[in-house]
Amino acid sequence: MTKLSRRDLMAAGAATLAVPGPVLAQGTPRRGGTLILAIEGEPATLTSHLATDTPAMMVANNLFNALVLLNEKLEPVPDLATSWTVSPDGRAYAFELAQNVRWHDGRPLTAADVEFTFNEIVAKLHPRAGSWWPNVESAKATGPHSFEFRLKQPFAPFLTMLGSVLSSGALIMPKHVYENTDARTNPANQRPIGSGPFTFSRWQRGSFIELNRNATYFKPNRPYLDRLVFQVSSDPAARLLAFERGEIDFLHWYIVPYDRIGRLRTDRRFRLYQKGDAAATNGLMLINHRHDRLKDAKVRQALAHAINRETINQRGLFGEAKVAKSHVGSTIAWAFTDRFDYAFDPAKANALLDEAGFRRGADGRRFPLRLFWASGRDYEGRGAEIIRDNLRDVGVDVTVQVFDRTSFTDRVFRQWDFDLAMQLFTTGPDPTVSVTPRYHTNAIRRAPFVNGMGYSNPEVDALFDREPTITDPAQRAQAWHDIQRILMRDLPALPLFELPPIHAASARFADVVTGPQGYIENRENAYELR
Amino acid sequence: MGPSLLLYTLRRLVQAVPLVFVIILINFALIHAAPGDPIDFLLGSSDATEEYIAQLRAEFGLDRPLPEQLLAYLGKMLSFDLGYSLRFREQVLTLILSRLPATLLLMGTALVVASLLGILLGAVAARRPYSATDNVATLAALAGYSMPVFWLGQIMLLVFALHLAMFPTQGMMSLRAPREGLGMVLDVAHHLVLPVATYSVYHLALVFRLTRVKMQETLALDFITTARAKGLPEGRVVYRHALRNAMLPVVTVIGLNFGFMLAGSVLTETVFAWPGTGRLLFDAIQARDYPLLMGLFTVLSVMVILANVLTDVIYALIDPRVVYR
Amino acid sequence: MPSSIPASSIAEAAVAPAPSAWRIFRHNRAAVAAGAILVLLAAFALLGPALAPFDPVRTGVGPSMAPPGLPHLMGTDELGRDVLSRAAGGLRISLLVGLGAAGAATLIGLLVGGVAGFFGGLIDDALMRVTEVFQVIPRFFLAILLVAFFGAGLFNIIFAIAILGWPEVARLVRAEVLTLRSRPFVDAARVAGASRTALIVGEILPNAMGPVVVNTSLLVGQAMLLEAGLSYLGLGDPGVVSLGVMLQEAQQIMRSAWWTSAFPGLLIFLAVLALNLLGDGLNDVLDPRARER
Repeated sequence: MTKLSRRDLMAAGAATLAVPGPVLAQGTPRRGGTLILAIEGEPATLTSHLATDTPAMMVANNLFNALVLLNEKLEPVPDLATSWTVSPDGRAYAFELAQNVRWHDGRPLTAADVEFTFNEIVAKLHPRAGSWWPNVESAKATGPHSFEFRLKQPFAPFLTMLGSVLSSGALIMPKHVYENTDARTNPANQRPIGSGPFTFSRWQRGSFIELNRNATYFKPNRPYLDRLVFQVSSDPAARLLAFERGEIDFLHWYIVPYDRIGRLRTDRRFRLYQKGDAAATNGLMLINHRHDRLKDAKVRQALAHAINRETINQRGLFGEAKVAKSHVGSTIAWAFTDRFDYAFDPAKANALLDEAGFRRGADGRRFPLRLFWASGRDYEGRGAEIIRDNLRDVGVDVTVQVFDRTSFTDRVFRQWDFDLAMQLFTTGPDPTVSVTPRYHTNAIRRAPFVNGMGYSNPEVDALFDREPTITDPAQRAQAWHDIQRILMRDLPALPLFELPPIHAASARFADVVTGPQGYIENRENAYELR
Repeated sequence: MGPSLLLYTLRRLVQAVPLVFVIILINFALIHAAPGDPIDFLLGSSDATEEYIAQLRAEFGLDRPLPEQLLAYLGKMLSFDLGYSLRFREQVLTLILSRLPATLLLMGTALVVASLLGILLGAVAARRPYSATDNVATLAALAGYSMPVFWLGQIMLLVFALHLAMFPTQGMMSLRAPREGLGMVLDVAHHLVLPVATYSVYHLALVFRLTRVKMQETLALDFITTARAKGLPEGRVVYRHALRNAMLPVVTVIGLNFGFMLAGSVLTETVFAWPGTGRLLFDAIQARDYPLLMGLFTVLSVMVILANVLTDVIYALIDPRVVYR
Repeated sequence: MPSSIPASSIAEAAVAPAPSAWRIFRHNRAAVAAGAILVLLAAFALLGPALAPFDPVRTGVGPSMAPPGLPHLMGTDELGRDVLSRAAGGLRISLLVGLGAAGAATLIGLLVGGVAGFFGGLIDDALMRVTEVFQVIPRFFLAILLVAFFGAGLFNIIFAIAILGWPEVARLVRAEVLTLRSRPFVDAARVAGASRTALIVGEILPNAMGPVVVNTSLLVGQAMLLEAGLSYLGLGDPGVVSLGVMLQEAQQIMRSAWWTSAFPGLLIFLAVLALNLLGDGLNDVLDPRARER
């Protein structure tokens, strides 16, 4: 971020207002009230160990606790663990757990639950366990309230991983409920017994999920709200109406209507939260390296020069996003660099394409390309339209095709039958677990959201393999700068925009968002103003 | 009438059984001929291992040959086991049944409102054909079914929910302050107004036009002329004799349109976030949730078949002239 | 089964009253007006893209979300595309879908109904059983399925919508053929030694065409609405911009730019209304049942 806009300043303001604890400007938190949050679809389960969809995570985080959470700087802060130590060799992580935690059914939560969760549930079932669990040698209870991980080798992002429950699935589950059952079909997945600030009340299918205040929560005075209701609302127009009418109090960042943010920002009935973003999600254009034109680096670089990414931001996301200048999100400040970005320069693009030997034909065209996107995220569609126009201007004849999400994933990541494709990739909370699995040669698998582009560069593979074991932060940052230099040169994908982390809430509530994972975080700090 | 009607009903029900099997077969063939992989959706944007994907495939039987999957499915159907939903991790039947009441409430209310209003307006219009009233009503009815349902719904939302703030925008009940007993009934009724208004417009127009035409035909028939000649009051002639006669085809149309009404629920339920089967079906399609899709198709088709049988039976009750073979 | 189940609820609803001269005239006046509207809309759809001052696909021909005015008579959308130019192309696609689907449904219906009605017996039984199955399936769901599973291409959409319409046509044609088969003029042709095919094509079908044409005109409108409905569910073909796709795209920004939703919606509404009015008018002229009463 080079220049501070008015929006940035306001966002900073919102961030200070939303800091948890006693520094509140609006008065003291009070008990009572119902917060209604919109979810865009029905979740599959209310737990985090089987699914990674946003609605499930939004609910599960209120029902369960993690060992640690992340603060705005993406540093670990206590949740169930009150303190922890890391051994000098970086291979042992010891945690002390809070003593007074009880499950919603009254049983005490102990280190045995933690041990069971990691060994029997996360390791075996969580869809993302593959990105970090292989580093773990053992996960054992060392006392009734103490717990230890041993790693095979140092793994720098380990605590960040644990704190990012979306990535690690590390919400602690009750051993006495899941032991000797099939954790995939256990009825508790739909009627969870957790330890979190709210307890499960009822789930009206297709309509809403209701949680009640956990009166015996282990954190003093928390939570403030009496009830949380998650309303299923899938039509964007109707959802916005309901929000403006005050029937819904919270729209998370994936469903905030970017075209209305300007209006909402000036409306005193609403408050926008623009927070540091642990997921650091980038919108990218994937480039198939098997394509006989696209396998030429000059062609890929020409595309990067030809596409006006500021227009995509202005018209596709109504100016609310930022142009993405690297494969790592700018909110991952320690690793991010924008030094290797491309300028919008159609003349240079034309020159590069000529140089590559693909001259314009009599009709002004050089060669055709297909650009795919998956229905559901309208801004990706608008981005695709703009890219088509930009590339046609330099003689690349692009046709845009849309698929439903499932067919899209099948074509792009299983069949590898695409030229260009619009896709969101998370790059946080640590690039080791989110960037490496997209571009490593060993990620060329017929599986969703990995290296379907067929990009392979031994030089960057070596860096990917070495950097997590570097314990010195400065050296590790340097490794990531090197990785970004290579990725931006080779362009397995062109970063287009950084999805803006903007959440909209009713101004009748305070502290609805307090952390870097605002859309799925628990609402133990939120309270109603009166 | 009694026993023969009962026999007739039973025979129609038995005739429907092979139909159900054909429908299951068609659905099955269709779904499995299509591209796309259900596992992808289930995984979301996750970095799943190959082992985990293989495990999921095994768990849901997707790795077995198709005939085996079909046989197993048919077998389970006979024991009312519609399978297990990939997407929602719940028994399919439980899922559908939990969504069915909302759809039936919406459809039932719309059907009653549309039919009553449509027959009434049709009868009124038929009394003075091509009068100003009739022309306006006819044009309005035509307009009613010339509009995209979801577009009409969105306009209704903008006008009545946002600008006039008369009705809630979505859902079936107020979530902030849930009520019990009569309060809850009134709350649901309040939420029902806009979806029903949107949903019934098409059907209202259809019933209106049909009633109007049938009434005109009936009013020209001999027995009406006789009734008039006998000096019966005009109102009684129209609403007792003629309307009863004209209602027969209307009942049939209502029955035949049941399937279409069920279909219209997808659009209305999406606009108003109504928690019924329509929205469930769309979610199932997006997820390529095979068991749920097949379950929904089966249940909805059975409902349509039952509605057709019911229509025939009602028809027989209203029209004593119908003789059943 | 009661013998009086109407062959098609749509056609049934459109059956007009017994005509007198002034009534036909009066009714036709509405139909003539509808016809005029349709001609205008068709001209807009066919010539619009050529006459429209802007490339309908190109982004940034105007500012983002400009309200209606000059030079963008219907305003622009969020990508700065001209709504009027897009609507002209959209109407063309929507009409194409409507005509294509209604035409296909009518052809299938004619074939199935004609064969069943003329040959009777086992063929009739078998064909009517198939028709019944297709009538019982919740067909809009089937259309959703077909499009969702086989891709939202224009051809798939037309095909899926055609599947919705044909059973009614088939029953309508079969009923007409059954009545016509026993008419004197058909007997006369048979006695004169006409072949079966000649009988069906030469004598029966032309006489059964009246209600079929009426039904087709109504089906075109229905198909346009269905296409819009599929598009709203995200199942439109985004490669070709139809009015339905425009409505679907617009709902995201409806509150900021009402014109992106209002104009395409109005165009669908007008076109379908005119088609329905025309169907009513045609019914008076073409339906022999209406004439004979």
